[in-house]
Amino acid sequence: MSDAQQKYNVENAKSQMRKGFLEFPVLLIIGAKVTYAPDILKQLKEANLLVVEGTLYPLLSRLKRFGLVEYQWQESKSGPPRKMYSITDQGKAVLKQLEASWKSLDSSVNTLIKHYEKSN
Amino acid sequence: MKKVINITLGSIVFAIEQDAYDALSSYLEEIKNNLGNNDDIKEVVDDIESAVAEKFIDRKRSEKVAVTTADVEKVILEMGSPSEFGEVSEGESVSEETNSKESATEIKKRLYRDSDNAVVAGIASGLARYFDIDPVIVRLIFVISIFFNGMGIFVYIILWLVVPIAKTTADKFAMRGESVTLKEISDRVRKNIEDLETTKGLWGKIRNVLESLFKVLGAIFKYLFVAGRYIGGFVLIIGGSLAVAGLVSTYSIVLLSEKTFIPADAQTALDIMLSSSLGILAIASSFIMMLIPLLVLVLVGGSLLAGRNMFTATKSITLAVVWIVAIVLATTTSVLQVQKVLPVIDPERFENGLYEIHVNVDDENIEFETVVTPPVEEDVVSAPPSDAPIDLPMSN
Repeated sequence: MSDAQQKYNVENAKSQMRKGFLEFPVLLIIGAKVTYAPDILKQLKEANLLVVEGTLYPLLSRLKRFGLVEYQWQESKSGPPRKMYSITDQGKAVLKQLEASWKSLDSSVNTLIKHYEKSN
Repeated sequence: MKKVINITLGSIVFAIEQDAYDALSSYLEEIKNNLGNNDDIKEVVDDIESAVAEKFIDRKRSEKVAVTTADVEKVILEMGSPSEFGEVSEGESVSEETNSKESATEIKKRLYRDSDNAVVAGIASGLARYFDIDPVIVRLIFVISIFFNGMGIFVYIILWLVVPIAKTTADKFAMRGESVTLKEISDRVRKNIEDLETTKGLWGKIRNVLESLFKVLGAIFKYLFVAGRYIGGFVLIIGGSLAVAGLVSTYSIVLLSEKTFIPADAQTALDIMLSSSLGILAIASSFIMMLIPLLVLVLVGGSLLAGRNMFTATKSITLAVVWIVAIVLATTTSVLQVQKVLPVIDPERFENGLYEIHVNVDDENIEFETVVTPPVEEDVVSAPPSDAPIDLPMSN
């Protein structure tokens, strides 16, 4: 029971980490190039950032709701029309802040990791 | 041989096998439940349907080549379990096993109308679900109560107006007090589809007509309720504010004006009171004592207008404490003041010991008595503004 409980918490923590963090790479991808959901998914998978696709859709709608990204419809030859996402000025400003925050977070977490690894 | 259904996903038409359809629709249904509070729920669901459509196209499915259960399973695997669709902060469980087993917490039972087992509008079976008893018993109670002044019909109609119908699968689970899992939903969806084909007929049509009639009545009822709320709130706020204004101006006229129209005795009493801090305290506390109930009226009106409770715990406690303190202060200080004022104004009666409860008040003296003793003043306020002088025994 206690084993199962512990495993559950770890899984949950990992999932929370991924979900909370995912907005940043998604903004980076959309910021680099106007793109649509399956393309974003492909890039996230290549970068090994995403396990399942379901997380992306609520995330995109949230980014849109806060005016960080916008989309335009584009006809597709093979399937349903595509929502082509692009970043807004507001999104760019947020992205800049996230980037700065990530860089400082990255260095401090790395310091902690090194410290931890040395102690073992 | 399998039965095939035509569906559209992201405005593309697909043929889909019955089993695969059940699995897919329950999957989408559970995603919707997980999205819960998301404002853009419809848009997200549309996005997800388009994504599923693209995946089917990738697998060369179309109107000609039907989608199979294997296709749906593969897509669900790629898209992830419905719990993944929740918002970041919800702390949802992750894997599908934990979702269906460990997190199967007790969910709150709610009262719905049970349209699946309805005879008229599903009130009886809904109530029966809620209290976990046989619907026959509830129906019997309703029928029997008709013979007692028709109470049952009245109650039934009210419930019909206010209790929502269990529309979605999640509502139906909430009605039964069960938590929702993927398998249960898929069982239910299948059962609903079977039911749909059997519950037509004349009675079904009559019920539909009644249902829409009551929907309209319910809307009117709701509208009237809201209108009543606004009117009540408005009246309370205006009335309360006017009363506060009246109270303030009465006090300021009595205390600050030239006092030409105040009887001499009253003037004497007022001067005695104002000359001691105890007297000022009596005046102030009696003012607060009357002000607070009026403020409460205004607050009640505000709550009705705003549609939310304006009485926070701290606000209520503060008001109550201040009010009680004011009452106690006003009573004690005015009793002391009476002892001080009466000997000056009415030495004779003071010696007879008659001042305590009643003071002889005739028409001109009403204002004077108001100032002297708040307990008496309450008598005056509550008494009708009568022309008849208040006669007391022993006074003449």
